Amino acid sequence: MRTATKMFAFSAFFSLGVGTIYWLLSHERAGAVLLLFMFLAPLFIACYLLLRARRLRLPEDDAEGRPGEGAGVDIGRFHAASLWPFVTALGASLAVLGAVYGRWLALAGGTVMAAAVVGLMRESRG
Amino acid sequence: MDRGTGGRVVSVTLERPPPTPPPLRARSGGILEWITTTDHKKIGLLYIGTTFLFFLAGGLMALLMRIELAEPGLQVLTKNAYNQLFTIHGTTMVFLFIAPMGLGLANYFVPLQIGAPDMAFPRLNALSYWLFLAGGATILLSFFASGGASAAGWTAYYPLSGPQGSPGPGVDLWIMGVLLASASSVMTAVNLMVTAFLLRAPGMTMWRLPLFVWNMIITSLMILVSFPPITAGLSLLFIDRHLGGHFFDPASGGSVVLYQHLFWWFGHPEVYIMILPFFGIVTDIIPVFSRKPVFGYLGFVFASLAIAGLSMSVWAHHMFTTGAVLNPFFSMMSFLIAVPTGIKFFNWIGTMWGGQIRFDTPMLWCLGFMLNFLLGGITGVMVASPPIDFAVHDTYFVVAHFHYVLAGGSLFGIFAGLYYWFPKMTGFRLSERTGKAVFVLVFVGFNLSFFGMHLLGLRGMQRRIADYPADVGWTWLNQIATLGTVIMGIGVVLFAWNVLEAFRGRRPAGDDPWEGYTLEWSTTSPPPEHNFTWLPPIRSERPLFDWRQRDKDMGAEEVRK
Ligand SMILES: [Cu+2]
Repeated sequence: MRTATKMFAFSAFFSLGVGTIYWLLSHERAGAVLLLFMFLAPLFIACYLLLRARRLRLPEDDAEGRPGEGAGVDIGRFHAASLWPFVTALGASLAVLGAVYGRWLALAGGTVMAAAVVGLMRESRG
Repeated sequence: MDRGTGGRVVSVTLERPPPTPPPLRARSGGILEWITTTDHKKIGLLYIGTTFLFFLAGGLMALLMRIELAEPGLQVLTKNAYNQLFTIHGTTMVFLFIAPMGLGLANYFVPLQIGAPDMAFPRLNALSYWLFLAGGATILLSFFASGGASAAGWTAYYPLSGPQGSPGPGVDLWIMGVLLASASSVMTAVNLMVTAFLLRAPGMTMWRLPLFVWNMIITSLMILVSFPPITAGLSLLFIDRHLGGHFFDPASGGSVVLYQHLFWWFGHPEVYIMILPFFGIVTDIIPVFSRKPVFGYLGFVFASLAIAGLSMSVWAHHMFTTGAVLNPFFSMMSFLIAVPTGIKFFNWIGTMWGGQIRFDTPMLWCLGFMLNFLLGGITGVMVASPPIDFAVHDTYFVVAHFHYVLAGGSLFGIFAGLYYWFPKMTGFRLSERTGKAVFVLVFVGFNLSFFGMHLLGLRGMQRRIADYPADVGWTWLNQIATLGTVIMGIGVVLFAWNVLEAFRGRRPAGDDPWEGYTLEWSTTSPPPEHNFTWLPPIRSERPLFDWRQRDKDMGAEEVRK
């Protein structure tokens, strides 16, 4: 995970450097703000990884790791099938069509989406 | 994996993948199986199939436009229909074909290449696909809305896309379709990153990842920082159109240039989101067909990272002629991108140098990719220079430039990937002879279509026009371009036949038809559910090559005894 942390940190400080130069040269606000957020967002992830990944020893990062070392450990459930992603997307597309064609469609879409989210959560628990 | 919320999800994914996963209940076949699937391979196939259909639609639009342009005067289209066609053609190719095709191939092959049983969040993955399909359908079906589809160009500049410029629902549907597709891309980006960081097989360190995986990590990073601003920009546009906003309306204190900033902040990185995956594919294919390890692995990864960083700071080179941006800064940064891109050419040439090159179809597409992309890159450096850009801005020179990058580059990379991985995805072998014919047709057709456009642009032909005067000498170049598009179209039809014939012929491909280097070739074709029953030890970026070498060495020892 150290490589990932470094990658996000590199992105953050690259943006900080470019953003500073850009602001000093141009005093243009839209681009400067965008570059500022491109500094903050990867920085946030880099900090999170730094705090968490220090405790993390992954066999995949072990240069001598063998495929068998991963055996038998539960990595959680991979759902073989679920209808809810389809229903969620159906609701989302109704909702955005509602934004164009009328509130009633948006309401219907929102309801379908809410139902699908409940379905997803139930499925995760059950 | 998908259990619980917040930190819990992550802590679960931090554990190891079992080589033999627990058996899961499978649903009966048929359409329900595809609608409910969370298998990354099925979702990958859905992506690849859907994006290819969108490609056919976008290609048909291009063909219609080229037929219109073959002669001066208006023959088959009205000006308004032409405007709708180039808008939706661009939108389709960018948002619905090239970028999602990269994500679709990644969906199928990133887990396989790193030795993982699936993507990190399978249901999120399915949701991404369905949102993408919904977005694509919204954009394409908007042709049937009253007033037709958006005619404001794929960039949807204000005020053309504003309430006065485009009163009908076309632009609204376009906005909503793009929002759905970009939400889908962001989800896939998160999914790919978590998968590549946390589900690698033991021994698959970050510096042994196949370069396709590395480039997908970097592409995902770019998606994450470039899509939110366009989502914001299009939402503001919608607010301006319908909810009385004035963000972009100068008459009420808004700023038109702000829209361009938000759009190109996304729009330029999107170019790299559309090319980096195919850089990765090409860099996986060239070593296999040159029988050599890749030349300069680390250099390639750092070049990709440098391209990602630089490409986030050049957006306003699309706005040189507005006079509202700092041209020297953006010009300088754009020139710099040529350096890491040049490094990649060294990687490819260095890999082929002294290798035993096999000219199978995937390799041919890679070579075509390099030639076309080289030209697109050179004209890219040219238009990065403001004096040249002022002369050729909004002419066919720019059209030629970006088609050399996106069609000559990305499309050829897509074909390379499809020909390379088709045997793995289906278990069947494509006809090599037909494949080579497809390559020749598309390569010749493409260059006929677009090379002359450089000259048209230099002679002053503007982009986005449905008609041109007969006495300016543009006609013969346009006719060659139309002829080229027809040839390319024949090539694409032949490709479809190539695929259908392979399904009908059912020639078994075997698990490893190309003697590949990466893990996807160590499993069956097509791979079983959860991908692997066995993995070789991973000691380099070519685990399968090492394994075969070990077999050969052991065989040689037997002989000596
Ligand atoms: Cu650009």
